[in-house]
Amino acid sequence: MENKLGWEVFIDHQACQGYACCVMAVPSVFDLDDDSGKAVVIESHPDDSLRVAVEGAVRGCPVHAITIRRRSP
Amino acid sequence: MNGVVIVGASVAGVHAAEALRDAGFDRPVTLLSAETDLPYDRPPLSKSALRGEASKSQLLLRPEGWYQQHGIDLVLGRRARQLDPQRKSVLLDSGAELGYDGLILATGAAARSFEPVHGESADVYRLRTADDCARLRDRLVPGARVLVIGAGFLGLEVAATAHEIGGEVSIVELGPAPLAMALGVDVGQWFKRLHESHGVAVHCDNSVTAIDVRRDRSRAYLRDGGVIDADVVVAALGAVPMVQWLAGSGLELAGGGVRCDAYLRTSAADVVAAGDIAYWDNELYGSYMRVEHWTNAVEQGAFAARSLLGANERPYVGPPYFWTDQFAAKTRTVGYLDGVDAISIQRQDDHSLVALYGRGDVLRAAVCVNAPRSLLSCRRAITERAPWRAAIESLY
Repeated sequence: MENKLGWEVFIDHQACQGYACCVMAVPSVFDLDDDSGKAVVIESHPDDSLRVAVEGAVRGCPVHAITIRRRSP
Repeated sequence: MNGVVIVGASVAGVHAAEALRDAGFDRPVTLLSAETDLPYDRPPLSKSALRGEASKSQLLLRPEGWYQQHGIDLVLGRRARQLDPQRKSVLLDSGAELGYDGLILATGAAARSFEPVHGESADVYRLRTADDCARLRDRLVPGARVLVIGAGFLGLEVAATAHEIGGEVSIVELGPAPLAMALGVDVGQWFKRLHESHGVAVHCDNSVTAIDVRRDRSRAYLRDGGVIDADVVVAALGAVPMVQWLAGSGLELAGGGVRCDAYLRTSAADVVAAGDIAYWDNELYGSYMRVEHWTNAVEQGAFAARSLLGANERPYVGPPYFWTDQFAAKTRTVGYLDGVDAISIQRQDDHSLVALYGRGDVLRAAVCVNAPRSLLSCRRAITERAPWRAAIESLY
């Protein structure tokens, strides 16, 4: 697991409607919470090799609930 | 160099433009839209935007400045009229001709219009564009009597939203239950009960044969002799792919759209298609299909762009996926429902439902209402082409 790019994945739980597109796109980073039905990040510092896939999930989120940020030091 | 022309600033078209730039394509990109608004997103039009909770700027697919920043020439209010794949040019309604090295067809679909057996269809609202949404929203006021024609996904969403606004809502549906064509009668009955439990009147096995419009009020005559008085009538009768302009171009049309191979390439050189109009060879199912859903448009837009650049190593596969939110029911449908020969409702109560769909002893699709865990396991099983017997014994 290498996260040299220093990036973090966040979900805005207010915005998330549980459409699950992110979970289907990158199941190693996102999952669905059984109770709320909303998406959760299960790997907030993913391997750099997943960067393109997670960017795809950001664009593929119907409610723009996912953001990638620089990791705080 | 003419670069790439994208016809249709739909969700597929915008994602295609973005994928071209992401891939390092540095020649001109022209994105053509028949509409005059900046490219926007459609799913909220029947939900938050119709409730008045999302402004026009919140619906934009990309901020206004994004197109210029990415060197994308966005041309609004211009319709493509004709394609000449030999000369590699698109004729516009302005009379101008656009040459291309690569062409991405992403024209989407238009709302099917309501045509009553008798009389005119004047004053019947529809919902496809942001303008349609704004017009309808103005009429959806508390206490308004709203008649929705068609209990498909869009009709049901409009009915739920109209009810939430405080409307008094009726739905008239030709089939034996809402969504019966798509999901089967038994699952359709679940949606009928959902709407009835909120006080929506659902008239199935029926149709509107005529509408009498008198001063802002309409009287709809039903086939069974019934009469419904309404302040607002909305037709939600499905969509028609926008491919008429391609007739006579020599491009092969099929399945209501444009025939594409597994890489979304059409029968013409350097022309690809994406979204609602792409009738493509989905190798997961071993058959051609056309899918009118958001996720499909997002993925195919980007994929088709990369196909044009020769950058895809594998074909576009995957189970179609879509969602619909009505009242508190979050419905998630994964897989391909056309042509299924077996349906099994795995569980249902007032709040949730899981139904599986099979064909030829293989699991093809699943409908999950308020069942997030089931959705994920069903999708996995569909992707793995799980045997039907094993699926109905293990997926709940």
